[in-house]
Amino acid sequence: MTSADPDCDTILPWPPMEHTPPCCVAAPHIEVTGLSVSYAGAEALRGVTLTIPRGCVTGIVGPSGCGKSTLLAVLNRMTDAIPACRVQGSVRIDRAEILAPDVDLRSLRRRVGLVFQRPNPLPISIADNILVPLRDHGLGDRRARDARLESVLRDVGLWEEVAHRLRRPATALSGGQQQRLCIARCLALQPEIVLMDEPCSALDPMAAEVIEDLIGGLRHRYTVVLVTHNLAQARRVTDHCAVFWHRPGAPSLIEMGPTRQVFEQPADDLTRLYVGGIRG
Amino acid sequence: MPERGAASSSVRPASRADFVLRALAWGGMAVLGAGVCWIVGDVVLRGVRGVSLSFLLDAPARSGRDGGIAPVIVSTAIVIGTCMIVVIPSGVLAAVGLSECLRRGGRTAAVIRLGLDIVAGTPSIAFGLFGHAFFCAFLGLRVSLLSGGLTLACMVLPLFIRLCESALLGVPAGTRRAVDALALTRRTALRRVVLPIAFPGIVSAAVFSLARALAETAALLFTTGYMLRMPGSLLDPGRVLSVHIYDLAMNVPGGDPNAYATALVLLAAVLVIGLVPLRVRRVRADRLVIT
Ligand SMILES: Nc1ncnc2c1ncn2[C@@H]1O[C@H](COP(=O)(O)OP(=O)(O)OP(=O)(O)O)[C@@H](O)[C@H]1O
Ligand SMILES: [Mg+2]
Repeated sequence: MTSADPDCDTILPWPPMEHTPPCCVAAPHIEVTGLSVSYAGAEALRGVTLTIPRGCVTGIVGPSGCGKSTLLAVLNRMTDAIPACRVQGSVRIDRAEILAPDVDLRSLRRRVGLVFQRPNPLPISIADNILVPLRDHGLGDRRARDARLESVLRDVGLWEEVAHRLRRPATALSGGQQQRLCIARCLALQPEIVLMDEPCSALDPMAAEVIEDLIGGLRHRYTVVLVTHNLAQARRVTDHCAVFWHRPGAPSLIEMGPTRQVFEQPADDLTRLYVGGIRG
Repeated sequence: MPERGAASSSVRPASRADFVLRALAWGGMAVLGAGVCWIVGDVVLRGVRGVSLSFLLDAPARSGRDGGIAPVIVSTAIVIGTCMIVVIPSGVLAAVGLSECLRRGGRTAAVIRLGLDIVAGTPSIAFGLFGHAFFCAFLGLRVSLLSGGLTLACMVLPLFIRLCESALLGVPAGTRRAVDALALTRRTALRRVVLPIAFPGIVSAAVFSLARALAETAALLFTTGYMLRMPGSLLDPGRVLSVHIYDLAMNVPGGDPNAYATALVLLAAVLVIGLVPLRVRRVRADRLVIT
């Protein structure tokens, strides 16, 4: 991993929420080594090796179909649900291998939360979207769950908007509100890692901005992996950036580093063209 | 400009084809509608004179030529009730197993589906013979309302399972992925997400199966019999509406007026039951409790 990045906090307009762990100190949280994924024989990722630092927002960018969602799906083993999907290599979270067959998927997915591109609240009430998973995972008593409900809704800035209608169906919220609810639902289970797959791309610019600020606020408390097509957003919100590309043959990682470096002094020619808006 | 010519000439045949298709579709609907109206109209016109409150509440006389159909209604309710009590829980469970527990697109599920479809397509007279041999004779339930209800259950179960399964498959992919990503237990997923979404579809499936059971004659001739007396227990024989119509029309000279009146009652029952799903649009998830 790169060494400490002195720019880390200064490039961000919002203050860190907590100072432990400090941003971008070389403390690897997720270590991916030689990861290859194929769907029914078609390679979707080849030989990816990267390290995601603890407490930072790490961006994943690259053209469509270069395996970004696939990488996220591997990180919490959503790939298990796809019958023809083959995953090879190693993914370690806090030094523990998560691709081993004996890994407990339930606790893995609680530690590694996932937010989807399209908001997908459960078709139950706003409160139940958060309380039902909590109860299902046996977290806290009733009082503790209600407290968690309020605190996560406050974290995503939704509390003021929905406090008076917690029992209404979640599907009646606006798209941006739904997406914030989905983030809150993910945070409620107190994950260490939050994976986000283009969380703003189904939203209008205003709602997207709210989510983007929210992601900035997650830094230091969570390790965030953010897939985005929006390079300006990657530049604004991420500390590190990984660029994926269709190399001849199969999609793979072409460059990874501190965001500023990737955008201003890219080592790879393709990256230069991509971040310059010339390709991709 | 050959392209322009080709384009403009291709417009007219297309619209002509469109017109023909439309005409065929409307024609088909008209033929079908006319057929349905004829049948329903015939039953209503000929049956309406015979139907009255006393017709519903009185015992039949002279083999059903006179009097009412009270025992027939009671027998029908018991047979159908038995059938649905068996079909709904076991069918929902089977559909859940088929759609949620077996591997999606797996061979086991495919074989089971094929089996269900074959059984669903089996002529009902075969079910009658099976029910007679199995429930009446082998299990010693004799020719009785219970045997008939169980036979009917066997007959409509495959249909009900398949309809329920398609209701369960109506859960949107995004919702399923949310359930996966949250690692909810199957129990919570079913209770709080899948079953509430599928509930209206399950109600429709139940109603459709019930209508099918109400209309059944052949399977019941052998299993509930055609005893025209008020049943005293589940193990008594009885006569259901459809068998009563059949018997009056085929075996009882001068039975036609009451056959039509009974048919009208049956038709009205199917119609009323068919209206139920229209009232069930949504069920509040926190109200539906299945444990
Ligand atoms: N469930 C699947 N079954 C088969 N192939 C898949 C599946 N999911 C993804 N793929 C293939 O894997 C490759 C990588 O897909 P992936 O969704 O990871 O790309 P992506 O970078 O997220 O693209 P986008 O930016 O459009 O979301 C693509 O070629 C895609 O067609
Ligand atoms: Mg994607």
